[in-house]
Amino acid sequence: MTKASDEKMYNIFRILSMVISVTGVLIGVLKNSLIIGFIGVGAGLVVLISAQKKYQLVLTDERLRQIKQRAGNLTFVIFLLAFALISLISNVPLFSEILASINAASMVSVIFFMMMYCYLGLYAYYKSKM
Amino acid sequence: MKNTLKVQRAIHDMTQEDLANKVGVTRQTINAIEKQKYDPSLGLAFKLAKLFDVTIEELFVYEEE
Repeated sequence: MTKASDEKMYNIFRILSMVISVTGVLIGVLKNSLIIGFIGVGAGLVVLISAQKKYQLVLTDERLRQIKQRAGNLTFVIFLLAFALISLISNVPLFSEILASINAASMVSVIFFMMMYCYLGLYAYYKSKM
Repeated sequence: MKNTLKVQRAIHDMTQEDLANKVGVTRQTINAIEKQKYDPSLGLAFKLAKLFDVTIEELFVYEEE
């Protein structure tokens, strides 16, 4: 098989692994079963790793590693500054009341998603530059 | 950094894909080097020079900014 068809097949398996994982997690949430979720994610990972071993494609290299490193470093700096700013304004009475009213668990999940989107945005930016 | 990668590739009748496979990087990386968007590591530069049987100076030309 040619490399192009190998890449196409690998992408199909990659999407398949994502579908299996997401479906497993969804069913797990709907049925309130942790085991189904874990099985789904595990099965997805098995499909992905098998496809990686079968097709032996170059999935990452020094340029991509550098892009990831830069995106990660800048995300870290942005959030470090954001946390410093939040800790500063938390002393202001109005903001301290707002911060106290926010649920810690939802705050953590919001921060997680913001970090993820920040990283993905920076990754796309650096990839277009390099 | 200017480079003669595209010329060397043409001399050796290689596609970006072929070259990428030979030096173990993605085709996009070869494309980025040719378009001077990415400067390769010393290791990759040596690999490319060795593959084309030229010196690094023949392949890459450093420009003062």
